[in-house]
Amino acid sequence: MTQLVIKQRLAQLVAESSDGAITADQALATTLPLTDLGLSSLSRMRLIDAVEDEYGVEIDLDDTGWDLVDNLDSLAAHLTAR
Amino acid sequence: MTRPAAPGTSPGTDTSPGADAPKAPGAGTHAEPGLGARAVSGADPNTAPGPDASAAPGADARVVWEAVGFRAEGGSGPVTWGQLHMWHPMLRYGAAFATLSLRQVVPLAAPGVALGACLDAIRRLVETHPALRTRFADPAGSGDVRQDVAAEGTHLVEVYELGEHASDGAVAAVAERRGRKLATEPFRHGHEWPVRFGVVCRGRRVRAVTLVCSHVAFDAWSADLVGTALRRLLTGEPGPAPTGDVWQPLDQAAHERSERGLREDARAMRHWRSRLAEVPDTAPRPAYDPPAAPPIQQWWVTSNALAAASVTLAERTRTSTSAVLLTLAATALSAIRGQRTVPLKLIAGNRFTDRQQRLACSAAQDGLMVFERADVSLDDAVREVYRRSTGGYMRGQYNPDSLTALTAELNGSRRHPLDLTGYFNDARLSHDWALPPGPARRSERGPAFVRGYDRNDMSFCVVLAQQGPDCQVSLLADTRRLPADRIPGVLSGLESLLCDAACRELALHDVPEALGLPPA
Repeated sequence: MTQLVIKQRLAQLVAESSDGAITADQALATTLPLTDLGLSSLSRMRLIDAVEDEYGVEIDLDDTGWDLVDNLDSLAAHLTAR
Repeated sequence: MTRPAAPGTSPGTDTSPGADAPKAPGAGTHAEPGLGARAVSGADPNTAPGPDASAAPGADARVVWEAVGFRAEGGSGPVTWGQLHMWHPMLRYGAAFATLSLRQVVPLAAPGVALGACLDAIRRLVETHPALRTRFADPAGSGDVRQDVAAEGTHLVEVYELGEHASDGAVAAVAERRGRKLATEPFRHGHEWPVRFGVVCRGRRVRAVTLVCSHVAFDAWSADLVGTALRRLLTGEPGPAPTGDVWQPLDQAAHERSERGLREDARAMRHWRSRLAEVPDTAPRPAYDPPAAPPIQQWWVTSNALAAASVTLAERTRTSTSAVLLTLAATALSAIRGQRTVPLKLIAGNRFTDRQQRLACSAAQDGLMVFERADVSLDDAVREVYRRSTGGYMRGQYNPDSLTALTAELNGSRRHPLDLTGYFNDARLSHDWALPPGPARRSERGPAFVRGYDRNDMSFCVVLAQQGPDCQVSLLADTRRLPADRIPGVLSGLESLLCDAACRELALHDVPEALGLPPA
C-alpha cells in the first residue's frame, strides 16, 4: 500500500473520528497540524484507536505519538515504513 | 476506594432497600403494558425500607409498593472490566459501599404523569436496558464474577403519595429524602436488581421519580443515560434516532475477551508499565500524626470565577479546563508528598465511541498519568499534562486483574511500594463548564466541608463537577498527608491562583506556595 493511499485512508479516519468537524478533504489538504484544524483530545483518541486497530500498530501519545498524529504525512510515512 | 462524590450531587449517597430481591406475590409474571403493576400495599418489611419518620410522621401510610413485571431477552456471561473494577471495592467496603450508589431524581412538571403510565414507562425502561435486570455473583469465590440478565421478573417500585395540596417544594424535598432512604442499604447483587425506583405522587399523579443505581452495575455516565431515557419515556420527549442493535453489557464482556479486547488489555498494560517505571523509588514526606477525626476529609468550593479562569487558561494554552485543573491537582499532590514525580490515577469514563456512549453499564476505570514538577511555566506544564493525560485516558480500559498483577510485580522490586492513591475525577460527563452569562463570581462562602471517611482507597482526589449553574471543585485528602485545616486553604488558593494565572503567566514552582503547601 502506497503512502498516498494510506494518507487518503487516514484522512477518512480523521473525518470519522471528528464526527465531520474536520473533513477528509481538509485533512488531506492542510499543511497545519490537525490540532490547528480543531482536532480535540477525544477525536485524537478515537483516531488513534482506529489507526491502531486497522494497521496493527501501537501509538504512544507520551512520546512522539502526539506529533505523529498531528501530521498525516508523517503518520502515513510511519505506517508505510513499518 | 470510595470515589468521592461529585461535590453537590450526592456525596456518595445511595443505598437501597435492605432487601434481597424484592419478591412480590406473583413476582415473575409479566405485566401487560399499562397494567404492569400491582399494589403490594403496606411495605413488606422484608423487602421495603422502613418508614421515614423524618419525612412525615406515620409515613408508612403514604407508601405502597407497586410490582412492575417485565419480560425481555435474558442471558448470562462474565462481567465487564468496568463492572469488575467496582466489584473488588464493593467486597472490601461492605456496607459502606452503599455511599457510592448513584442517586438521581427525574422531576415531572405539573400536572405530572398518571401512576399507571409511569409504572409502564419503568417497565419499558427495564425491558430495554439489561443492566436494570441483572444480578451478579461469584459463586465459587474465585473472582470469576458472572452477570445474569433475567428474561422475566418483577421490580418493586416505592410509591409515596403526598396528597393533593402539597407544594412543588415539598415534592422536591420528599423525592430527595426518599432517594436517600432508598440508598441507605447496600445492594445484594446476587439477589437484588441493581436499581431501585421510587415515585412521588401528588393526588395520584407522579411528580418525581427517584432512581438509585448500584455502582457495580452503573457508572455516572450510564446512570445518567438511564435517567435520561426514563425522562424521555415519561415526557414523550424525542430521543436520538435508533442506530441498529444497541451494544449491551454482555456484548461488551464478550468483546473484552476477544482477540481485539486482549490486544487493548496488553496495550494498556504496556502503557502502565512504562509510565510507572518513571516513578522514582523514594520515600514520601513523613505522615502527620495523629490524623484528624475522621482521618480522610472532603471539602468543596463553588466558584464560577475559578471556572472562568480555567477557561481562559485552557484557551491560552489550547488545551482544556480539565487539563488546567489536573495540572494544579498534580502539582499539589507533588508538594504534599514532597516528591517531584508522582503518579495520578485518572477516572476514565471510557466513552470514546458512539457505541461506548450508548452502553448502559459500568465502563469507567482508572487511567494513569505520571507528572513531573519541572522548572517550567504553568502554561507549559498544562500543555504537557494535556498530552500525558490524553495518553493516560487512552489506556484506561483493561482487565483489572492485569493491573493488580502488574503492580504486584513492580512493587516486588521496589523499596517503597508505588503509591497509587492520588486521583483526579473530572465528573462533568464530557462537558465543559456551563457558565451563566454575566461576570463570573468568586465563591461567596469559601470552601465548605462535604464529609469525612474513616477509610478510603484515595489519599488525595480532586473532583470537578457542574451543579446546575454552579461550578464546583472538591478536594479529598488524607489528613495524615495534608492537615485538615489546610484542605480548605488549598481550595481557596486554587481560586486565587487561577484568577491570577488567567491574567499573567506564572511559574510552576510558585504554585505550591500559592496553595498553602510546602515547596518541593
